[in-house]
Amino acid sequence: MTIAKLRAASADVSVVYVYGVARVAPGQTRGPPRLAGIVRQAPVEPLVDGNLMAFVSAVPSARFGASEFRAALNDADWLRDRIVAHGKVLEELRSSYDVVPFRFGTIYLDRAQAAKAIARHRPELCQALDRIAGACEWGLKLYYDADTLCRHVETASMSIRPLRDALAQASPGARFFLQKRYAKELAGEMEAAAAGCVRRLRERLDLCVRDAADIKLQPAAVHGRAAEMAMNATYLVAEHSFAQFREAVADWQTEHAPHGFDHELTGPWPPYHFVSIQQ
Amino acid sequence: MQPNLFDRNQLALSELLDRALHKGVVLWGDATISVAGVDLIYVGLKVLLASVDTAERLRQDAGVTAQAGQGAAE
Repeated sequence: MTIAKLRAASADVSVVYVYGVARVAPGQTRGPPRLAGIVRQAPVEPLVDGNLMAFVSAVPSARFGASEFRAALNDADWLRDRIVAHGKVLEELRSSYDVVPFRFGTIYLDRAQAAKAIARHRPELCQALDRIAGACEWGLKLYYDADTLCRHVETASMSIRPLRDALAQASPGARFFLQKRYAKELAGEMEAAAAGCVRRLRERLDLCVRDAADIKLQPAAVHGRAAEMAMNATYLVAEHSFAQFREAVADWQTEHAPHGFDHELTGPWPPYHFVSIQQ
Repeated sequence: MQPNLFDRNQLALSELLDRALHKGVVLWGDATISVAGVDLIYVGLKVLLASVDTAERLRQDAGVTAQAGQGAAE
């Protein structure tokens, strides 16, 4: 057999890509709405196993086989499009199901193997489904403008004001040391102000969210704002609590915007951060 | 790259990477043929995101977001 013929033959062989798992509702017979999958020619199909339903696509092993997929990961454009497609499938399923999202790139040899893996972890998957039922994930980032916060702290802080007055009246010799002390005190006060501001919002949000997780703070090169990131968190919020959640954030914004604070809310996301399974 | 849901907003792509590559269920089975190596590509993609033209778009998007209203849900 020539190499070309071998390639043609392997293109027909498919493996199974898994997006996530939902519960089969009693009496439910319909599968998911027709959706394009991770690659355009592979629609999303249901794979029912007992009370659970996985959403899967049959994908060509020529791209998604073990070594082929690892090689494909080096193609940044292809990879980015696939990650976006993975996110889009889960996003669309969210309107019809509570779905436990799988990590990008979960691929099994065939449907039987995928079903076996799901069956083996049925209790954990059911627990995860219970945790996320009726809820979505919302990303919340808090920022502050250092100059605005600095001006606020300079006028509002009780420990800063006397130092500033002393600095204004100091002799040139005393100035040097006072200035150093002032800068140190100011930095500490700003840090405390930002931390307190974040803590107040966290405490209020804790009352209306089901769960919370912290994400690593991003440097400016990634978040792209001319501001400091003070918090990067993500919340699991039940649909019926969302209005309360949104209001807490809006109140915080109104109260703290004059001191240089701002927020960025993204979502709703599938609950990626709240479905970890112990194995 | 084809137009799609997330293209309009590189910030949303960055958010998606934080989630889909880092989090979500991983079920190891006897016949799991992938998932390995996915964490490794995360670093590479973050670099890609911060590359010159993408960083420029990130800044523009951030500017548009700020003008369109502070902290609106996306």
